[in-house]
Amino acid sequence: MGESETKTIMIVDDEPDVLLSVAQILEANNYRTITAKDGYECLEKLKEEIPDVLLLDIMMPGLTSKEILREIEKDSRFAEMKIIFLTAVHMLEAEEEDLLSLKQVVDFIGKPFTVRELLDSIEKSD
Amino acid sequence: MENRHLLPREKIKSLILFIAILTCVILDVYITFIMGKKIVYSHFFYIPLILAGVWYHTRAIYVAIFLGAIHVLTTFIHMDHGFSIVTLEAIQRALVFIAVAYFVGFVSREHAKSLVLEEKRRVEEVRKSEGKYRSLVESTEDSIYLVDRNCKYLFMSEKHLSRLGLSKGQFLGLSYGDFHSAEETKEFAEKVERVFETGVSLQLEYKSSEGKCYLKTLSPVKDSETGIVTAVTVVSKDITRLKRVENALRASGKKLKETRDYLNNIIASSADTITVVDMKGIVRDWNKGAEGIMGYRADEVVGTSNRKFFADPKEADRIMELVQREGEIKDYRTVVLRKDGKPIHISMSAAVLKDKKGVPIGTVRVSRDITKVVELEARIKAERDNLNLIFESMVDGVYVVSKDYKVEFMNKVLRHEFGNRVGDICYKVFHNREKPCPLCKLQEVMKGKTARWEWNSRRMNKTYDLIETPLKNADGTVSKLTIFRDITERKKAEEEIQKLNRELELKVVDLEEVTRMKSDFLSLTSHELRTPLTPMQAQLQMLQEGYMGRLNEKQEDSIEVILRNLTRLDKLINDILDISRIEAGRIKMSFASMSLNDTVMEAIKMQEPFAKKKDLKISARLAELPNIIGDAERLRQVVSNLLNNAIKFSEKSAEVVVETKQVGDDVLFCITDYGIGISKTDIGKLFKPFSQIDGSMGREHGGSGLGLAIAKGIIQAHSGKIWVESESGRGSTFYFSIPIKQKITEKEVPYIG
Repeated sequence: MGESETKTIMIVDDEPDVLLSVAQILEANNYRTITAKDGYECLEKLKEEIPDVLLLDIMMPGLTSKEILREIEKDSRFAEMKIIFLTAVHMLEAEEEDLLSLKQVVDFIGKPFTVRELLDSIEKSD
Repeated sequence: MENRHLLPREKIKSLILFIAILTCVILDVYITFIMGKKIVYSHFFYIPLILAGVWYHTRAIYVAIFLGAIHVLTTFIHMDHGFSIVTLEAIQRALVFIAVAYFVGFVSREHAKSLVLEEKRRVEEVRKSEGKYRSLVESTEDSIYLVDRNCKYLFMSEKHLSRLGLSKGQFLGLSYGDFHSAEETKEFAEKVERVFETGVSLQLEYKSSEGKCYLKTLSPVKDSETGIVTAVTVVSKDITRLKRVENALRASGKKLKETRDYLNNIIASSADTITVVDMKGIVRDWNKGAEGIMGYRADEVVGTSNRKFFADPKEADRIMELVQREGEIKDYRTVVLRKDGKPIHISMSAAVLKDKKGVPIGTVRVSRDITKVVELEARIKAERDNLNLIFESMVDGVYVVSKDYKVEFMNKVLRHEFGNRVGDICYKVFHNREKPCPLCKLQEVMKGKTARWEWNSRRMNKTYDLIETPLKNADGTVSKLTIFRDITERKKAEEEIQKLNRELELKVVDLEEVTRMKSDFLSLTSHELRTPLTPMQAQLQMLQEGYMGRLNEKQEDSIEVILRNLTRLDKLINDILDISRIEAGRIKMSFASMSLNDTVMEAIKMQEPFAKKKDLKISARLAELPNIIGDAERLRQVVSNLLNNAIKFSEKSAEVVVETKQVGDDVLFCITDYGIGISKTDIGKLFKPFSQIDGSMGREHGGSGLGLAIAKGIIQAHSGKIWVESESGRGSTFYFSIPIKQKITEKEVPYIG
């Protein structure tokens, strides 16, 4: 916290309350946040700005996380972007869906999460 | 022989006579013509006349006339007056000569006559005896001849003449050298010389160029009076055949000896008993094998009766009679007694032993110890009898068929159905066929194979289950044993079952679909349940951490209660999800090589705050362990759960002991508390889901009642075991063990971080 450069975090979750809570916690800890309520919005906003970290939910209506990852993989501009899953889906199930193989994926936080877990994970992601 | 000797003497006689006559004539002419004596003294004419008379008898008159004529002639010529008194006187004297000659000749002839008669008689005698010898000589097969010192033939038997290709008398003047090589002649001459010198007979063997063999016996012929050797007789015997026979005999004798030695060796070293028993039952020979098997040494039994060897002494007579009648016996089985009295079964082969003339002189017997064989046969028979007893009582059809399709045995069931047809041909009995059945397994079974097959008889509309297997008989042959069962009903039932199974399979597919849906539903539910929990927990944490401004003590307490129960709710959701996955067999594991001790230490660290609250001491006694293949996260969950339970059910300030060790091929974890313990009846339901022993207890201690069921599921997914030992009121020990070398059933999950 309080570094010279403020990290930008994009939060993708279909639950507005989760989006709000995560954004509140991160902003209180001096991160810049961008929120997207689904995959389409996520990809739209990624066109405008590339965040340092993408906090991604797994089970969402519309575009699935797998499709989102495929788009990210295609575009070399996202090579430096880190991805952290924040989801109620079990990690082994995610692994089974082949969501963890992309090199940008650095962590996996289960819901419900603790504030400590979230902040530690983002801090570690450099 | 006589003639030969006389010849030179005859010549000398006539020579002397000739010289005497010549001398007398010269003397007469000399005295008459040179000396001129008127009266010729012809007295010297008497000497040749007497000689001639003595030698030539009356032929002396011719000599006398010749001498008289010379005397008259010389007187007549000398006187030259012609015929005179002197001439007359000479004629007178000539006549006296003739008279003297005639007289001397006459006397000599008479004398000679008597001598000749004597000689004739002697010669006759000689001839007689010689004739005997000659016939003897001629009648032998041998060649006989006579030679002098120079090896000149003096006589030859006809045999020898024909051998040399000569006719009678032709041998005269020929010698040994004319018919033999120089070398042979030299050797022969030496031998002849030796006989002449020593006067002793000797023999020599002679091999002719035609390959014939002769034995020559050289014997001296001695003058009966002087004892001087005059000639040598040679008897030459053709021994070619004899020699050949001798050689053949010598060769076969050698061969015979070798064969005999060889046979003796075989007999001596044979493990079988080889004995010779004479016609009276007396043992004559007893080999080493017999010593080994019977225990008697040869010197103990040779010369004694063989009756004592047989368990039944009459057997000795039976065998002897049998062998004599049949000439030989083969594999005759009987029982003999060893020296120590132990009975032995033997198989005997025997033959009559005959002398050169073919007269039986005894029997040769070769016996083999077949006690083991007999015992084996008895055992096989006993087994067969037992088997037959069992077969009799079976409800299945059982029969035995020999290799030539003859029925040897049918059990009760079959006899009831087909009648007792033992001895008949199987395909006739069971199938009314004239030929072996096309599906017959007899040949296969004869090769030692066991066949199990189902036979569908369309003719009888029945299905049979057949087991056909080889059965060894006591005599070493093999028969086929068949056990068959009518499975027509069972077959129908099976078909029914199969039909049901197919239906069931369809239902199972449906059920699987349902299970999948249930699992998906649970997964979805847990996700949906967690979704509201997430912002609740986030917001409450923000409040607790002062993101929204400072809280007073009561507010903080309140938030802590809410958070605690949120955590509990989350855990409950997780537990329900886990147990539903375990029950559906869809629990997910992430296997990797891991250290159980590390996992235990981690769990202890996590549970330590709870222990501290109750002032409990956690003692860890961790042995050095090999790594195992496991899901560290899941095992930590199990250990935490067990620790949590132990802490929950312990009294304040007590001790909880955690131990790990290696037991055989497993790692063992155990945790002991000294709390309230578990009663025996409760232990059974301990690992079942939602089985908290007492509802009130659950509430008091907090927990879903799913922990142990999940633990069991996780340990079982590790191919391990989990169990408990407990005594109510004194505490409990929970154990789990995991094999060190278990197979990885799920793929490893890479570490994310």
